[in-house]
Amino acid sequence: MTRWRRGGLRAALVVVVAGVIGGTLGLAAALACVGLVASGTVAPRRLLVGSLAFAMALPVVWVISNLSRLGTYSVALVSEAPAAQWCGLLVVVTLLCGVFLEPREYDA
Amino acid sequence: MLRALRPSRRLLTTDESRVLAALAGVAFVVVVLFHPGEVYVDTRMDLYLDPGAFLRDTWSTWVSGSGLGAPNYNNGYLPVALVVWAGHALGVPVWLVVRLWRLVLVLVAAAGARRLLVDLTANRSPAGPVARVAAAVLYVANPYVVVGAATTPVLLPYALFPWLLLAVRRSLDPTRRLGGICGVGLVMFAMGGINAGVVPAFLMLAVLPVVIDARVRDRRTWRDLLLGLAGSVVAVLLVSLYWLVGTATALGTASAVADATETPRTVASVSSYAETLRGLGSWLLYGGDFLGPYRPGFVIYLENPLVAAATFTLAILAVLGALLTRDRSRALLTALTVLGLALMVGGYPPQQPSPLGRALFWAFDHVPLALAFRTTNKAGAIALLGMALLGALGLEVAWRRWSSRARGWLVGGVALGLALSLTPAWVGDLLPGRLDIPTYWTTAAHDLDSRGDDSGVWALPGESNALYRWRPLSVDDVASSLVHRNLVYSRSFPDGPDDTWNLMTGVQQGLGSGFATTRTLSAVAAYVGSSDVLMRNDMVWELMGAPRPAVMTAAAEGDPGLEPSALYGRAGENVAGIGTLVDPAEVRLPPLVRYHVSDPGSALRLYPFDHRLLIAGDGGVVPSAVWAGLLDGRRPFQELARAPAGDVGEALRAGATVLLTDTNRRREVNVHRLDRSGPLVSAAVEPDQTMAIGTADDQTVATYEGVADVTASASGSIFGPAASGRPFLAVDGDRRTAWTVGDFGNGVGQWLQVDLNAPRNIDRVVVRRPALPGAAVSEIRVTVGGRSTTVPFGNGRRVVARFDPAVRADAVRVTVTRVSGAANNQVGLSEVSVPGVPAARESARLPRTVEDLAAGDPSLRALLEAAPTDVLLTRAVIEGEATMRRTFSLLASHDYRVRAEVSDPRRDWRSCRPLMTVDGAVLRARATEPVTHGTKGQVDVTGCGRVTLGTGPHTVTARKGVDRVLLDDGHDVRAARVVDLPARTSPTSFSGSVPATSSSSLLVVAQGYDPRWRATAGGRDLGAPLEVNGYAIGWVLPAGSARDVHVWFAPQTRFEVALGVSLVTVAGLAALGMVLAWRRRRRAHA
Repeated sequence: MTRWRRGGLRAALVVVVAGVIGGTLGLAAALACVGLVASGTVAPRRLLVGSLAFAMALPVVWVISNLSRLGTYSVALVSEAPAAQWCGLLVVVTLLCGVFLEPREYDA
Repeated sequence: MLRALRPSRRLLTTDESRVLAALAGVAFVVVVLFHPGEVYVDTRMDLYLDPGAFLRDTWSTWVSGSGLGAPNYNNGYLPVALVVWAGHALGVPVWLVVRLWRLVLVLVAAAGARRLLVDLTANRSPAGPVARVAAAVLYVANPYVVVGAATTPVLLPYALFPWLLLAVRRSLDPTRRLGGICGVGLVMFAMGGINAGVVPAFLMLAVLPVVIDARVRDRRTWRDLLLGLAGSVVAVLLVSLYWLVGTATALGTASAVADATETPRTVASVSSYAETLRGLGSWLLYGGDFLGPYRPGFVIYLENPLVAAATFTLAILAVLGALLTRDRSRALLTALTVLGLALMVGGYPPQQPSPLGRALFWAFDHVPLALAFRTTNKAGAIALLGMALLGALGLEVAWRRWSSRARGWLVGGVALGLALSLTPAWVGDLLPGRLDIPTYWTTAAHDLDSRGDDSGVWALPGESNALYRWRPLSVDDVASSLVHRNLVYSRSFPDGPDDTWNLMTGVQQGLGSGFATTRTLSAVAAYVGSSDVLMRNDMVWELMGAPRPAVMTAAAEGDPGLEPSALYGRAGENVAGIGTLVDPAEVRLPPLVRYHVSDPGSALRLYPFDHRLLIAGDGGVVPSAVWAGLLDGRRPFQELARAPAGDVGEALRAGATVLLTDTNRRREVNVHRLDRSGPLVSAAVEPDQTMAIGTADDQTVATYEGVADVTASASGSIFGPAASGRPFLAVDGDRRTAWTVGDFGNGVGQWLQVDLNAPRNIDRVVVRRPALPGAAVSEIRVTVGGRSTTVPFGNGRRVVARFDPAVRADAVRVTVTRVSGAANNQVGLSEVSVPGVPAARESARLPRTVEDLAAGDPSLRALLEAAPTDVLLTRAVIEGEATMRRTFSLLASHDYRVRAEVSDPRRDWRSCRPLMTVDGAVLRARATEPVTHGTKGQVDVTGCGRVTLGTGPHTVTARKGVDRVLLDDGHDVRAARVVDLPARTSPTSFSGSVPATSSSSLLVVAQGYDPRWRATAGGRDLGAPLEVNGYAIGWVLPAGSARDVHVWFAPQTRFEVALGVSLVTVAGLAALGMVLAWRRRRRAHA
């Protein structure tokens, strides 16, 4: 299998998985990642940097988007904030893309 | 090099071992030493409170359940039960057993994560000590272990999961295949099959990425993969055979429990990626009721910004690991992470799920047994293991690369993040479910157990979940663990055979409706094999919809068949309700009252064969039948819907009588409350979940005059079925009543359909909305014969949808297309009318079982025509029924004496007053002498004349305030002679001796009906069982001399064979594993 074919298969698999588990937003994010990698704009490892950025932003986003509801627990779903959900999904999709779009595995 | 990787055999000789020992010490302090002496239970209470009985139950296919027996779907607790029982046998106190068990699981989990990381990285870049320690710590020091894995059914598989993957990897290695297969088998046996093995089944999904990894990274051949997997599958099947067989036996019960508890959409309402990434997302954490949050100790995860932020530590480390590490295992670990997270997220958001979520919902709705997997958060071990090992690898890389100063920041930051994310552990909230049993309960249990026979204890009131004022929310009832006799109680949801649920909940609803009259409780106690009634005044009745203590006490005190025998606890202790619910009289009640049943039942009983009452309806009629004098605890009864036609004929020939009732009502059950149900529906409507038995013909159904049917997408509240706001109210011609639906913003899309009796030309439809504050329907779409028109309400309450030219159609559908107002109230429509169509009238049509039986067999018809046939009608209080209107059909003419119970204290019934109309003729009644009053002040009245009803249909319309009506055919009800048989019992068998009998009898076991029970008398097979007394197992016992009877649950034999196979396999795998390990070690030394 050629390098391109293997890369294409991986990209297709990543897009499918991201779409299945993430719906439209997951699909769009995965397509964007694949497009960026295929065009040479971004290396897969940079996607992992993005993923790390999303992950590190998550606590802040979570707290800010729930600020008005913190401390008012009843049957409230404190964790409903959409911004936090999107960031969470993007962590997963960019992690998936970053790891599996790497052209070949390597060891230290 | 490999030797250097091997863990040191000597303890505490390296920094790594010292750090791990110190961390284990911290775990010991947190898990064991906090709140010493306090008992916390993390799963079934009887596992810890009565481990001997629990262990015995794990090898039984039939258990007592809520008292009347149920197939057992928890045989898979066996390994856990063995461990806990061993601790108990060694004299370790209960509180310490629970703590040590959890500590062991935590340490096993940590050791497993560490070993798996070593194995995954062994080939090229072995994990160093930092990664090894981090793997152990990150896998167990996260919010998922605190919240999601707070119970043994989740924590046990979580702890063994890394070991499972380790064993699977070895089974794929041709040089270690056999040992790996042994490991897979032993790990899966240790995981057990708790709750039908749902969590282990989830975790098996992780095997696929491991196999792909072995193929890609380790270059295993297809043959190696196939052999390893095949061997593992065989080993898993053999060691799990016992609980697989047990679960298959109990499939119906398990499915019913799954149907009645949380729904997939409830579970998915909070499981977002943000929540699952921080190890949370388990729905109970986010829920609560007016008593407070369901999981109060963990609310800090939602309320404290610092703690909330810290819970993302593991997710950040995992991504850091994926970024920094060069190890090839990161692909596998990422795959595990993504797989686990996707499963945990499941159907979130339920209103707009991802394709995976939609597929899951479809499976839950359509695939049998799939519903058991609705709590997808239980797959957390997969994601957490992936994240923990990725994080560990990342930390090691950072440790190697970064300066010592940066290392200090790294360790400090990670330690602080982890520590904050475990806040509940530091403040003593790690162990939920504190069990502080009041002394009065243990005293009562001891007293009840001292009776020493096989009769049961009927505990009242019934319950939804087991809600006592002295302990947090719990599904399992602690009373069953304290009282070793059969503790019988009803539940709002089925946790045993359907008919047991039907009878017990029907009786409970009758009691709650105020229909307990003299001898109701004692009669029911006898039918359910009980010699004691235990009144539990310390339950949170208001949350369960159970009758309040004052009502239940009045019922017990007014029953001459009950003798108060003991009071337990102080007056008012744990009795008072909440706020305005406090009743001054109740604060004087003790929390527990024991009544002795003067004419008790027993586990094994002989009833007369010739004296049965054949009921068209269900067991819910028992309280009214006792009031009517038709049942007394001794006379056996059968539901015609459950009786074989041949048996009905035999019974009628032997003098049985027939009772037509308006029970077995076709309506949706409310599994959360005992005092509510959905509305009565027509035969054409299929309720989602119903207690009614048989087909629509066997049930009481709604019928309409004026329209053919009126149905809707839903009615009432999203919090469960309720009869209020039922669709009929939109066609009843009364503008004050309305079809209501769609609270909390769910109104748009709801529809109501009126089916007309015949097609007609419709040129307009008039629709009214009720005058309700808050949200209201503001626009509707009216569809007639395929044509639709949308009309807004504007500021008015009435709109007219016009069709020009007129449309010929036999149905009108009104759909809510817009709702105005932001309030959370229900919205609705008060009237939907078609000019020329009169306002509708609603009736309840009684079961047609008798007519159906007669139609199928001419000889049976003759017997049914000749049989005395009473009619017993009861107002459906939990449906909110104000007045009874009933239709029924008779096979023959009957001359009836009329008796009724009325609850209208304003009327003076000393002289004849209108009671009801029968086929349009007014029937009068006056108070029966001497005048008596029921628990709610009801008065017994007798018809001032008799009423003769001919063959064919009849309609009875009662006046307001009439609760019950008996049309008495006038036959004598003789006192039945029953014989209680002393029995030797086990959960799955009953044995006793029957005295000589001159005529046939009914041998009845007070256990829920299941056709798999078998019986012999004098060594002769008695054939398939009958259902007797609305729930019990019975056989016709021919006349004969004294003989022994033996009754047993047939699947037990098959289960015991399976258990033997599993235990032998486990022994074999353990022996083989030890031999292989010994040979390997010897070879290494050589």
